[in-house]
Amino acid sequence: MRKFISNIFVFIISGIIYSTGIIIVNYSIIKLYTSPQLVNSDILILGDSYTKHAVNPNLFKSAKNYSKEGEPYILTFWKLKYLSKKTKAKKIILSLSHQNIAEYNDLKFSDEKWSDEMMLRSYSIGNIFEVHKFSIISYVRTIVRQMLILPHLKHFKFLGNYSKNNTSNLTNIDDVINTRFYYKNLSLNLSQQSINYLDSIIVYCDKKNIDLFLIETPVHKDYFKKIPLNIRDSYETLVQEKIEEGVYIYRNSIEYVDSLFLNADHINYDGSIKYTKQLILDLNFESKSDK
Amino acid sequence: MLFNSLDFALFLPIVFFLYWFVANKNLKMQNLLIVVASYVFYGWWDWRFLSLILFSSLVDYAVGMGLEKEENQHKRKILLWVSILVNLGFLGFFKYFNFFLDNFVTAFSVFGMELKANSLNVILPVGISFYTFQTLSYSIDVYKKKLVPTRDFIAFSAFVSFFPQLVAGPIERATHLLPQFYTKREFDYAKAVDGLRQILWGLFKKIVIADNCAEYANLIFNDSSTYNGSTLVLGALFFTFQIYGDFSGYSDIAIGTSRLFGFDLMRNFAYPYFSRDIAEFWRRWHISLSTWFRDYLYIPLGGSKGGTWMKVRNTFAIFIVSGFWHGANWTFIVWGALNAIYFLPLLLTKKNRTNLHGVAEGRILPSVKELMQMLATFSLTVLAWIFFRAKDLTHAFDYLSEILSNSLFKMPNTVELKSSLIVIVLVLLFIVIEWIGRDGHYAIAHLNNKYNRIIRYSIYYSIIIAIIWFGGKEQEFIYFQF
Repeated sequence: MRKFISNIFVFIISGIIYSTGIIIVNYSIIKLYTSPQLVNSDILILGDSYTKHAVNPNLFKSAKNYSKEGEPYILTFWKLKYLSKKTKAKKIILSLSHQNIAEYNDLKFSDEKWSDEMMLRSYSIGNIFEVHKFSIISYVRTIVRQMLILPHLKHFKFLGNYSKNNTSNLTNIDDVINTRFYYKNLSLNLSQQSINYLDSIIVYCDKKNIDLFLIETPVHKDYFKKIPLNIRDSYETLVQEKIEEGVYIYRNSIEYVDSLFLNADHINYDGSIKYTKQLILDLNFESKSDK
Repeated sequence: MLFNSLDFALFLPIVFFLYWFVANKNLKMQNLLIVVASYVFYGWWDWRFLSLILFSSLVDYAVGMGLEKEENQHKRKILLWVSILVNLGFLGFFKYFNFFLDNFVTAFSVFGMELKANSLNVILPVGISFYTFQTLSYSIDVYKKKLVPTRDFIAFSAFVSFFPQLVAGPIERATHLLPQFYTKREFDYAKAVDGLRQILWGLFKKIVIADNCAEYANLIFNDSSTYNGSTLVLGALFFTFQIYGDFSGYSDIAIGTSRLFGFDLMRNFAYPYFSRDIAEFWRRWHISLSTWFRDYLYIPLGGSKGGTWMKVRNTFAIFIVSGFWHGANWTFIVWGALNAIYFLPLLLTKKNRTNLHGVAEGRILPSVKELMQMLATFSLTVLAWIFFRAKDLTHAFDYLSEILSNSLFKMPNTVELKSSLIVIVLVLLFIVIEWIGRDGHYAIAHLNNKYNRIIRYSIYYSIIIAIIWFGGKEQEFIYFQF
């Protein structure tokens, strides 16, 4: 028995020694290495798939779109802190919409449908214990896979990009509504965590003298009508509160024809050209042609 | 409690510690600990079903005692039937009640009679098909006087509920496992290390091979009408390796865990996909069930003795019952019948015991003939698995007809193929490892004799890394539903 226990001990210790070495290497990579995806630019475009599809950075004089689909505000906050240290951007464009404050964002770190992906994006920049509810198994699995096994440079999965897609399919409205505002057929409420982290983003930008622009991107009118009333009302209240606090919110007032929509709540490439040009004009950003 | 869960990762070391450090002085204590641990293990799913195991244990224990005392053959037969009816009664009620009811109603509706019957919302207790067969083997063996019944109820309860093999086998014979509970177990270093190695290999099969194959098999089978023939073939292949990795992986973990506690369980799989004919396949696949049916059904029916008609009848009986054992669905019955059709020509031409030795023994590669035989057997097996996996017979026939259409010669649907490429590579690597290690009880059994500690540890860590790296979502073992 003694031999068995001591061999198990040696086996585990050798694994711990190996993993410790790998952790040190990976930690150093996260701290010291700069991903080639990071480009110094004046404007950073952040948020979820809304800004990913709607804001074309190539039309700006100097902008980079790091939006990533399904990104909750807590992750945007961690990402903002990381990017503000790595780049010199002084303007941030961030998506604001009904789904950003919907309760389904609270499930993203705990429901297995999303949790692995969210852990993968957050382990290198965030503190998971700030999240109200998260899957421990998913977290441990991510840390073990990403930090303990092999040294690698792929620690920056939180960096997204602009998506260029010119197709159009509006058949998924009900599915999207179900995903965003219902969970297992139950109606979802507001995400207090998301609202708190939106506040954190606003405070952080203020402290760092970064101009923050919260923007609404176009959604299809049929989709809009199906957003539950309680979410729409709460959203309006939030927007008014923020405007009164002095936060700049760019509201979408133009109606887009069906062909400019990628799907129920995203515009496609042609739509993004139209939207981004209008955004640049309305907010007095420097466009590429101003160079 | 699943073997591939964190719960079990904590449970196993605790039980191991208590077993060898607290209860090691006393055999009764060790057996009692096994019973308690087994009940905790099983109760983790649903504690209400513990009463079934307890009741089954009490009945078969009492039947055993009664059979020992009773000399009157008629009364002995009654006692045996009590055991059979109780065990098969549980199985029939929990597993087959709704199936028979639905088919009964359907049969009457054919003759224009409308019967009103409500299906019961019966939850199938995990592993009921396994432990009922195990306890049945006890009663039958005692009845046949092959086994002296035990007076030690704790040892008997431990035999019925032994947690490593309680929910998905191997289905042990009382003659093999029960006596192990009477003898003092001493810790055996080589056995324990071998057990750990087999657990590791079982986890690899389950988590890396089966769970990853499951993702694509489910994707393709659940939406089979949208895929072309070649993609459906791919889906069937994924399921073929899913079920093998899943079930043989479970058996490896069960056998390995038992070895940690000083027990030897029977082998359940012997590289079945390297079989050269269907008879060999059935000697290598789910050995504990095949031999159970052979000993307790096929041979009592007359086996392969007697005329052609008797051989045909007995072969169909054993395969159809085996199919039905898997589940209350016509798909399993057709799967069993199909295997009987495969097997029968070999039996009738007396070629069913041609390939008794291992394939390509003493050689690295098989001969062309052996390779062709293996491919043919494998193809027949894959074909049969389509029935096993399909949700009903219509689904199975639709699936097959699409495979047999012109779309078989189209490229598989690229999205599925592209994302599953890594799984295909893993399966190929798995086949190579199994082929190299086919002389052992499991593929990496010989590591200890071949390599020094550094290489061994590197291989173990590589397997652990693969389990973590390629591990899919935690999924239940397929055979838990049976």
